[in-house]
Amino acid sequence: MAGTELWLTIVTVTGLITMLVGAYFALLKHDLKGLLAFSTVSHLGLICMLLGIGTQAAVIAAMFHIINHACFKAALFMTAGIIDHESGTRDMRKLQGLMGLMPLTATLAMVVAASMAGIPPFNGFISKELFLDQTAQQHLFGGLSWFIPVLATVGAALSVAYSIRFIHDVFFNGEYKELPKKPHDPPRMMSAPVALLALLCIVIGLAPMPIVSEILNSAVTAVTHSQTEVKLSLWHGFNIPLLMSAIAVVAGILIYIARDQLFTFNRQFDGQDAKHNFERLVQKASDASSRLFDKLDTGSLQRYMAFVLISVIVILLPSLIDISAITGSSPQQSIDTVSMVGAIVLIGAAFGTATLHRNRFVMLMMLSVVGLMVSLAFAHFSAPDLAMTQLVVEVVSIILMILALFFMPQKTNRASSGHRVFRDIIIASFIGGIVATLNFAILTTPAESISDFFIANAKTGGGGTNVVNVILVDFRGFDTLGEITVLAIAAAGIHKLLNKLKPFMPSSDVDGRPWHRIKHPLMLTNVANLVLPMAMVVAAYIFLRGHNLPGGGFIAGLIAASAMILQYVANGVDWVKERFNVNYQSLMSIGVMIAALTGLGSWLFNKPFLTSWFTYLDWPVVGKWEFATALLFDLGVFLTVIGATMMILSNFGKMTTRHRPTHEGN
Amino acid sequence: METLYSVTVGILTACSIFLILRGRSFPVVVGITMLSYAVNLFLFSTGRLTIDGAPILGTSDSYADPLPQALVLTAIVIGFAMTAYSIILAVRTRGEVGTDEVSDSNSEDNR
Repeated sequence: MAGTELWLTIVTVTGLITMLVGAYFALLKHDLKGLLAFSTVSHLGLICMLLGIGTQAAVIAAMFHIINHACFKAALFMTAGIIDHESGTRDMRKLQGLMGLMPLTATLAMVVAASMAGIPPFNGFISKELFLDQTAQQHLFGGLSWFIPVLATVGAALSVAYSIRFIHDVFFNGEYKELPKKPHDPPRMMSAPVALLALLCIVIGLAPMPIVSEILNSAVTAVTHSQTEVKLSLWHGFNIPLLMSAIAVVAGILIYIARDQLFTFNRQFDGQDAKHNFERLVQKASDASSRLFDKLDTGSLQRYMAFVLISVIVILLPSLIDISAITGSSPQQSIDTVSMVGAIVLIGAAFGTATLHRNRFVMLMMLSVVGLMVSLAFAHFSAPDLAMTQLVVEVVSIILMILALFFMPQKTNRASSGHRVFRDIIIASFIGGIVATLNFAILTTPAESISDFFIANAKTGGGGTNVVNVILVDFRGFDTLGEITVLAIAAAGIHKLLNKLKPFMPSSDVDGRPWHRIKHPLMLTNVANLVLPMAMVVAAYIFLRGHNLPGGGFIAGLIAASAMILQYVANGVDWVKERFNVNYQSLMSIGVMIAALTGLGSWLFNKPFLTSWFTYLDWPVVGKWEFATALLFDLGVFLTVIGATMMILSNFGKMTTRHRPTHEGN
Repeated sequence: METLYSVTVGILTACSIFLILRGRSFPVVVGITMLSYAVNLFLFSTGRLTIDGAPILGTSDSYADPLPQALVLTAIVIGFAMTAYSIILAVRTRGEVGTDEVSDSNSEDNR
């Protein structure tokens, strides 16, 4: 964030506030060390503010002030220590008139305190001048920028005031009063460090360049990452910063004189403890949030779901209201009989699924009607590939759900309460309405598709006339590779979920009737055996023609899988296992690997990943026939789909036989 | 035709949402499955509705947009994977928890 406007503003304002608050509290403290500590806070705020202003000169001032502050503040703390050591107290309300008793300490303290107050000719004066100059030059707040130098002057005045207080309260302010110990100047070794630092304050003040230029140069260079030449001097002539300094000194003296009023003013806050206030505030905030949380978080997932859906409505509604008209410029097509009948059946089945959900088998039947009608809709609207895929997927998922129903209650006995149903109907209607509106708006807007490219290049570039299939295995083959990987991962996840599963196993159906004794009906087994080879031939045919006519790996894989599932249904897991013992996991993995390797193969020919290649070969018997690497890729898709589907269903189906309760009532 | 199509998709969505808000896992899974049908129909319709224009080269003068079809085809298969996964989760939950209620902390919400 450094260098951005926001950063400069935040750091500068934070520094300014810190400086003022620190200075104010420094003035209020009765403890010498407390005064110095808050003064340090205030000076750090000043340095922070300079870094926030961030110009080259401001950084120089900041670095220089760090050096000066170290000199005078260390000396002052040592002075406070000496006074404490010699007199036994640091309380400025008890200390007074020590000038006569410890003149050396008093002199040294006056030098360093003057430096802190920014009185010439000491070093603190130079950096404070630089600081005031910088505040007067910045333009961070446009027309209101003047308030920064004004507040900086206030800070400087407070700093003058507490410096005076440090000196006047301790060393003057009347005659010496009884103290725990009678003070006198400390041993030489105790005052020597203070003297050294006080000397530094004077020397740096009088001749800043020879003493600090080198160290300051390297510090500023390190901060700004650019070579700088530092120029410092005590006297800059009569200018604005000098005026500000002068005002600060006068104002500081006045503030010190009027300090009693300040103390009285501050006494009204005595009963308050910042820590308690803070604690109370935090407690209030946390209480409020727990109350809110308890209201929102009832542990009910439906409620969360409803919240999510309601937010969808709330977010979408305003934008929908803003749209003046949802009807686009495309002319509407007329409704034909097939569409009308299909739509009525679809709508009826959808309502049936929703309303009859308490009888779950009926619900599934209704759902299969919905799926079938969706498939017919695809067929009607020129998407034969989709229609075939949807049809087979529908079969497989309904079988899966019926299988699942064996482990689940077949009915929901309790009905939802009326107002809940009412609420859900409202939410569902709103969402449905929004979706319908959006769909209508899309449908009536003229289409601008990128598909012309695919249609133009399917034959020449991909070698196939079924554009959908060419997109899947060629143009957007990478997507398909991702898709079959997801399918494989889902199948592996299901495999893992079924591991060590102890499902709920009913020994009879919902009305108490035991399961039928005949596990594998004769008719079904016979038909299934007949269907299997035919289905396999159809699958192979669909697979091979997929590049040019509706079909392809996805559809062929699902057809083959559903024929095999029929075997499982008709003859049972054990029967199939004896005859066809394939590890579906391996099949699936091989499928993904074939697809990936086909993609990698194009690297051998210095082509990008998944570039396809095709040629026309003269095959014996068949005649001239196309061979495309895309077919290999599609083979990977085919195997993955079979493997994944079979892995899901056969593993799940196995559960029923393994745990099937016996008639002895287990 | 466009009106009929979008109304159908809307009703399909509404029925799915209603099922998803039920308190037992099985209707929720069925709702998700049906919602995926609705979403597929919606996505499919972004290619607009074309009759007798299957994107098989050489069979028609104006082809339906093949790109949404390709996207929806994979979406159908992925949707199947998702349905299968959620149904197995529901069965597993029934086996481990002993109930098919979606949540059990508030009796009113469980129905």
